[in-house]
Amino acid sequence: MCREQLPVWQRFWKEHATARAALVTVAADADTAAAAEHARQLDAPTLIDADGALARAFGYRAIPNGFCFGPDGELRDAVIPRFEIRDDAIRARVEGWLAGERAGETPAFGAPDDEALAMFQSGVEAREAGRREEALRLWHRAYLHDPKSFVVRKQIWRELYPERFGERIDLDWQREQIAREKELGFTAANPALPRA
Amino acid sequence: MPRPADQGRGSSTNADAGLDAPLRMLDARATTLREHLADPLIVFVWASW
Repeated sequence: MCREQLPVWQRFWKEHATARAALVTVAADADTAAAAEHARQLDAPTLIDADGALARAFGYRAIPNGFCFGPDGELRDAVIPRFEIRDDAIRARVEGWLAGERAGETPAFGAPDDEALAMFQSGVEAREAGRREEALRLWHRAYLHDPKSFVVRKQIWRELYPERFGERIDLDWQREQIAREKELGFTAANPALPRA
Repeated sequence: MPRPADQGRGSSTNADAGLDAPLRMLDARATTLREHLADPLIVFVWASW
């Protein structure tokens, strides 16, 4: 899971940071306050990508993701998705990045669904303006336009079922919810969602 | 869930778009990844969900 990696990153970076390297984390969160609360676990800067700007740039539909840029802005490598620092292979890959290694070939990316991301962004703006129902309606529409997007789907879940995303993220519930959505359809499995 | 091998080819276009994507600092100041370039810059994208 994403945020559960933060203390692991904190330890990793304490052990591996170099004078020239930098780590930044980007919280892809419409709820900036929640992101800020979790980011307190880190010394590294945390940036906010509330409306999916990086998803638009790199075409990803799920997180966590990792990127390594050289000092000239060259994209040296990317891991999309499942960038999990607790995984030995990923840890070794990041250690390679710090040693100057790069991907053997140009990292590959999917094509973003710009229309869905635009609806998602409008939903974020509506949420920030206090119009929750409108935000959910727009996110619902965005999800139906791009049903492979876990970025949109999980933001909807986060808003509808905050109790599942407390101190502990309820992964059993997420698995059950995916099964419900597969059986009933996304809209029927989320009855509190405003009609798209 | 898509894997990199399943996806299209990347390019410097992706890198530039990512580096210049509009982001915010926690205090709401505007920023981009380009402002944080280092040797190297490692970026971890996560969410509270």
